[in-house]
Formats: sequence, C-alpha cells, structure tokens
Amino acid sequence: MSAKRTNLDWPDIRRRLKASDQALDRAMRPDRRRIELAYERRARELAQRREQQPMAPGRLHLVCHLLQERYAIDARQIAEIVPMRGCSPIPGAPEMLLGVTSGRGEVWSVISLRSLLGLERESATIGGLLLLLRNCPGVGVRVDGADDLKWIADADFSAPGDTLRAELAAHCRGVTPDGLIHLNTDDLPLTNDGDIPA
Amino acid sequence: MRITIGMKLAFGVGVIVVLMAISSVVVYNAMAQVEQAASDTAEKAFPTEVACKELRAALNNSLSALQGYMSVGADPDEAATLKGERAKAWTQIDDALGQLAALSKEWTRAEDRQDLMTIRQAASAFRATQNRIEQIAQRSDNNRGYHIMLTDAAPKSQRMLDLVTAIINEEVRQTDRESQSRLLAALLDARASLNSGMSSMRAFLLSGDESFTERFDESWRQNGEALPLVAEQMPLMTVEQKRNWDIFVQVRKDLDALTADMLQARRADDWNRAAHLLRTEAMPQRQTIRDAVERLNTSAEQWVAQDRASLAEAAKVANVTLVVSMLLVLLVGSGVAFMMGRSIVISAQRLAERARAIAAGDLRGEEVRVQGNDEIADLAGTFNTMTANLKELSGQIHSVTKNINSSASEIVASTQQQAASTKEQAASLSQISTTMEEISQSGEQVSENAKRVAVAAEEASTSSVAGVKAVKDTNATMEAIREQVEEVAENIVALSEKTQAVGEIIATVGDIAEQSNLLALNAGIEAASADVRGGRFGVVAAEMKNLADQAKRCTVQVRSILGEIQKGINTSVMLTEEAVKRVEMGKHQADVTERTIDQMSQATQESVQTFQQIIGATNQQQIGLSQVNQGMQDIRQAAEQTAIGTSQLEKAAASLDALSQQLQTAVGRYRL
Repeated sequence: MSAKRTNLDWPDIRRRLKASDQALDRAMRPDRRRIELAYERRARELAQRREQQPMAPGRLHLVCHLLQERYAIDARQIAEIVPMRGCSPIPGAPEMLLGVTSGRGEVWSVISLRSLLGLERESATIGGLLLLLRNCPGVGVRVDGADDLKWIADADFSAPGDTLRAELAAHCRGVTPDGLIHLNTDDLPLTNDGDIPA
Repeated sequence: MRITIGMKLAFGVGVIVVLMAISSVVVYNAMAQVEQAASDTAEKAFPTEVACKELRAALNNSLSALQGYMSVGADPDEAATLKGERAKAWTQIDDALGQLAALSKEWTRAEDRQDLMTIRQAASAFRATQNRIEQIAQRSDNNRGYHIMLTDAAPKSQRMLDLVTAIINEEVRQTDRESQSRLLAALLDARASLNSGMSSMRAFLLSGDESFTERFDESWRQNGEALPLVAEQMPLMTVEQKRNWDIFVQVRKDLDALTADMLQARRADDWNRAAHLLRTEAMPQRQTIRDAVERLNTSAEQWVAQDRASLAEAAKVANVTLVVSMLLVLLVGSGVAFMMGRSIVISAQRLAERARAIAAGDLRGEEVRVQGNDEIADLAGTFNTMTANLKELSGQIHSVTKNINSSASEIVASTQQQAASTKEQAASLSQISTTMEEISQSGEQVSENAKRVAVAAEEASTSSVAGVKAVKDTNATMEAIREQVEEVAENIVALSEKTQAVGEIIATVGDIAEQSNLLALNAGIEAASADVRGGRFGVVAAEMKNLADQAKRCTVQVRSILGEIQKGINTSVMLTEEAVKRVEMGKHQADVTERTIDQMSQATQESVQTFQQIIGATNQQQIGLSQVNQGMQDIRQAAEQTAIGTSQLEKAAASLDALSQQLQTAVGRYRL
C-alpha cells in the first residue's frame, strides 16, 4: 500500500503547468537565434573535427553488428548500404543464401553473414541492412545494423587470439581494443560455383 | 264587620296624617310667601340699591376727574390720567344705568321708571357738559381776561418796558447832568410803575382779589403822571430816545384800553368759562341725577322694608301653624294610642295568665274568651286550639315514649356492632389505598422513563433525519466527483491518443533519422571510395551523419519521454478508474448508510410511537389508579364517616333512650 498522500499544492501544480505550456510554446516557435547558435556549434565542431584529423595511416571502416558482435568493414569494399525490405527465399539454395531481394529495379542475392560467421541463421523475413559489395556485384551481405563510419588506423588492429570461433577466425583480420572485429569481405566465400545467382 | 287592629291603627294614623297634612299645607303657603319675599329682596330690591350706589359713586368720580383736569390738566401726563379716570367713571355710570334698566322691568311703581328716565336724560346732558368743559378747560381762551393779558397786554407791556429801558440806558450813557437826572428819574418811575401795574393786573386776573385792582390803579396813575415829566425833558433826548418815547406813549394808549377789558373780563361771571359751565350747567345736572337716584334708592329701600315685613309676617304665620298642628297631632295621637292599647293589653293579659298555667303544667283550665274579632281575638282562639291539641299530644307522647325506650335499647346494640365492622372496613381500605399509591408512583416512574426515552428517540429521529440529509449530500458530492473523475479520465485518454500521434511522428522522425544515417553512411562510403576528391563530400557526409545521430538521439529521448508520459497516462487512468470505483463504493456505502439510517429512523419513530402509546397507557393507568385511589379514599372517608355516624348513632340512640326517659318524666309532669 502506497504512503498516504498529502494534499496537493494545486497552486504549485498550476504554476508548473503554466511553465510547461510556456516552454512548449517557446520550443514550438521558430527561433532564429537558436538556428544561428546551431550553425555556430556546427562550425565549432567542424573546426574541431578538422583539427582532430587522424594522421596515422588507416582507413575508413563501416561499423556494423550482428547480434552482439560488432564488425568493422573497409568502407571501400562496400558499394552501398540499402535497407532490407523482405527477402524471397529460394528453395534448395545453400544455407548462407537467405534469398533474393530487389530495389531500384535491381535484384540482389542476400547472403546470411551470420551463417558465414557461424552464428545462428536468421529468418528470411527479418529486416536489417544489406551491404552491397563492390567486389561482388549483385550480391549483398545482410547485417543487423550499421552503426557508424569510423577511421581506424591499421595499427589499432591486433591479432584476434584463440577465443574466436573457427568460422569467424577464418575471416577476421584483426580486433580493435574496443572489440571491433575487422572483417574482410573479400575473404568471404560469397560464390559457390553457380549456387548463388549472380 | 271585622275591625282589625290594623284598621284601628290605620284610623288613628290617618287622623294624625290628615292633621299633619293640613298643617304642612299651611306652613308650605307661609314658606312660599317667605320665599317670594326673599326672592324679591334678593333679586330686585338689593340690586337696585346697589346700582344706585354705584351710579352715585361713578358720577362723583367723573366730576372729580373733571375738576382735577380743570386744575392740573396743563400737564399732559396728569391730563391723560384724569381723562382716563373720567372715561372709566362714565363706563361705570353706563353699567349702572344698564342694570337699573334691566331691573326696571320688575318694578311695580311708575314713579321709579320715570325717575330712571330722568336719570338717563340728565346723565346724557351731564356727559355732554363735561365733554365741553374738558374741551375748553385748558384752552387759553378759557380765562378771557388772562387770555387778553397773554396775547395782547403782556406783549405790549413788554414792548413798553423794552422801549423805556432803551431810553434809560441811552440816558445813562449821557454825561451826568443835573437836568438829565430828572429825565432819568421820570423814566425810571415810568418803568417801575409799569412793572408794578402789570404785576397787580396778573394777580387780579388769577385771584380775582379787588385789592390788586387798587394797586393796579395806583401804579397806572403813577405811570400816567410820569408821562408829562418825561415829555418836558424831551429836548434833552436824542432822536432815538424821542422816537422810542413816542412809541412808548402810543403803546401805552393801546394798553390802557386793554386793561379796562381785562378788568371787565375778570369781573364778569364767566371770567372762567369751564368753571362757569361747571357751575351753571354741570352741577345742576348732577344734582338732578342725584335727586332722581335718591328717590329711586328710597323706593328700593321701601321695597326692601316691605319685603322684610312680609317675611316676618309669613314666618310668624308658619311658626304658629306649626305649633298648633303639633299640639293637635299630639293630642289626637295620644287619645287613639290609649284606646287601642287598652283593648289590646287586656286581651294579652288574659292570654298570658293562661299561658303561665299551661307552662306550670296545668292543661285542665277553661278556654280564654276575648271580645271582638280582631287579631287578638284570633290569637285567643288559636291559643285555645293549641291548648286542646297540646293536651291531646301529651297523652300520645306518653304512650309513645314507652315504645321508644325499648326501641332505643335495640338500636344501641345494633350500632355498636356496625361501628366495629365499619372500623375494620376503614382499616382495609387504608391498606388498599396505600397499595394503590405505590402502584401509582411506580406508574409515574414508568411514565417518566417512557417520556425520557420518547424524547431521546425524538432526538435520535431528528439526528437520523439530519444524517440522511448528510448522506444524500454526500451522495450528490460523490456523484459530482465521479463525473469529474470520468471527465478527467476522458481527458487523459485524449492525451494518450495525442501522445500516440506524437509517437507516430517520432517514429517518422526516427525513420528519417535512420534513413539519414544510412544516407550518411552511403555518402561516407562514396566519399571513402572517392579518395581525395571525396574529401568535401566526406565532410558533408560526416555532417549528415552527425545530424542523423542527433536526430536519433533526440528521437530516443522523445521516445523515452513519450514512454514516461504514456506510463503516466496509464497510471492516471488506472488511478482515475480506481477513484471512480472508490467513489462507486463510497456511494454504495452512502446508500447503505442512508437505508440504514432510514431504517433506524423508522425504528426510532416506531419506538417513539410505542413509547408515546406506553406514556398514554401509563397516563391512563395513572388516571385510573388516581380514580381508584380517589374512590378508595372516598370509600375510606365514607367508611370513616359511617363509623363516625354509627358512633354518633350509637350516642344518639343512647341519648334517645335518655331523652325518652326524660320525655316520659317531662310528660308525666302534665296533668291531663
């Protein structure tokens, strides 16, 4: 049983409601000064970002994730990231092939990266993102989500160790200190002698 | 014919009454004459005398005022006072004449009425004469001689005096020569004689004393002798002196004529016109009035004297009549009383002798015989009958007394028994009465308790009515709360729906943020593939990514807030629903309370009615007990009275027995 409530301070409630209304009203009104402050903030951030340009050699990587694992893929290997809106399974197709999907008049084969990396295979109806690879036109690998583009220096990658599972270790180039797994899509067995439609 | 004592008495009284009536008539007539005489005196004679006296006094007052005015009327204040007094006196004269005129209607003598007429006529003339006198009394021409002195002679003499004084003064200023001393002496003589003569003339005019005329003549002669002496010395005078002297001489001639007129005027009878009028007309008129008034007064006095004589005569007659009638009444009354008394006394004495014998116990005597057929004879016959009946009764009493003795003894025994049983009955009734009292007190207590309970029940009923009203008010309030709470719930649900709309918008924004993020990633990827040329594009991509991240963060925050809002709404709705349920429960409980209170109120009302019935029954019981108690009291009193009566009966029976013994003894005394 809750503690006995004391009598409400209705004047205080009314004051709070009035303050909320006023705050909402201010927020709803277009404020030129707010926009100018945003531009100034943008300019400062841009300036900071330029100052923070990493000089160490490295590359821009796409950080994506499958279930709880986070992967870094060289951005140059990716042609495009498209949202996956359904996938039509192909009967008799290999396990790593989820199915095919279409977009902008094109048909892409959808590879289950989970299957390739030894994770539990997802359903064909699941959403997520499709990474269209440059080296494999018409083929895309499905990931659960793409988090960010991150510049990672080459020196940041370290040897993966023995804890990775065999499927993953086979395709992992390195691991960053924060747990990103460097994944090289060129190493992925994305063709299977005709089983995967081009 | 039966002549009763009353008739005899009536005859005697009638004779006395007749005699008294005759004497009363005579006395009445005499008194009537006395009254008439007294009336005449009081209403006619005396008023006439009084009016005459008042008239005389008023006439004198008017004359006195007039004479006073003639003497001192020159002073305005005195004149006004005296005129007022004269007017007042004439008012009194008019009043007196009016009274006499009213009284003259009752006068019997024609001479009196004639005198009154004379008085009125004379008074009218007297009034007119007084008015004329008053008009002329203080005028300067009232005293003709003095008037000539004042108006003519005095100015001329003064002129002469001034002239001679001027001449003398001029002469004095001349050089002192012996020849001019003679002129001066003559002039001085002329002036001195002129002054002396005028003084004497004034004195004569005022007093009328002839000695003053002699002095005047002497002075005037001296003055005349001085004229030639002065004329001889005229060559010594100056022109001015001569002129003055000529005027002096001329004025003297005029004055000389005036002196003769003044002397003549003073010597005439009417030298003072007002006084002359007063003397020749007013005084005779007054006398005429006085004479007439005197005659009238004398007539009134004679009238009074006659009335007094009539009064005395009438009184004398009344006295004589009264004395004679009283003597007659006394004689006749005494004779009648003696005769009647004698007849009554003899009969009464016989009856008394017989009564004494009967009182002594002797019933054997003969009847009393009385002559006549009046009340005494009736009394004797009745007495004889009574004696015979008494004799018979004594015999009967004697025989009955014996029977009474034996019956009395039996009654005594019975009453003794009855007294004993009555006492027992009274004791029992007393116990019953005490018990009834106790029952009555108990009933009173029950009634009091029932009343107190009824009062408390009434109060409870009143409280329950108030409670029902309070419950109804509470119900109404709770219903209003329920409605408001439901309204609040509806508002909250509306807010929830709006929140839902906001959520959809946030979802759209999130989609846009995702797409923007994806777009930024693609842009970044393209920028990475473009190498150096894609640097600026990479910046743009980075900004897009940044903006998309901001949008995502904001979306996350808004989602979080919306989630909290939705939780709050849900909680509010739940609380509102709970509040409504509680209101419903409260209302239900209030309804239950109302029904319970109604039931209690009904029960209380029934209790009140029951208690009132109890009170009514108790009261009736009390009344009944009171009536029973009263009845028991009455029965006890009756039993006590019966006991008392029985005791008295016993005593009476005993005394009856004793009385019968005494009666027997007493009856035995009479000899039949």
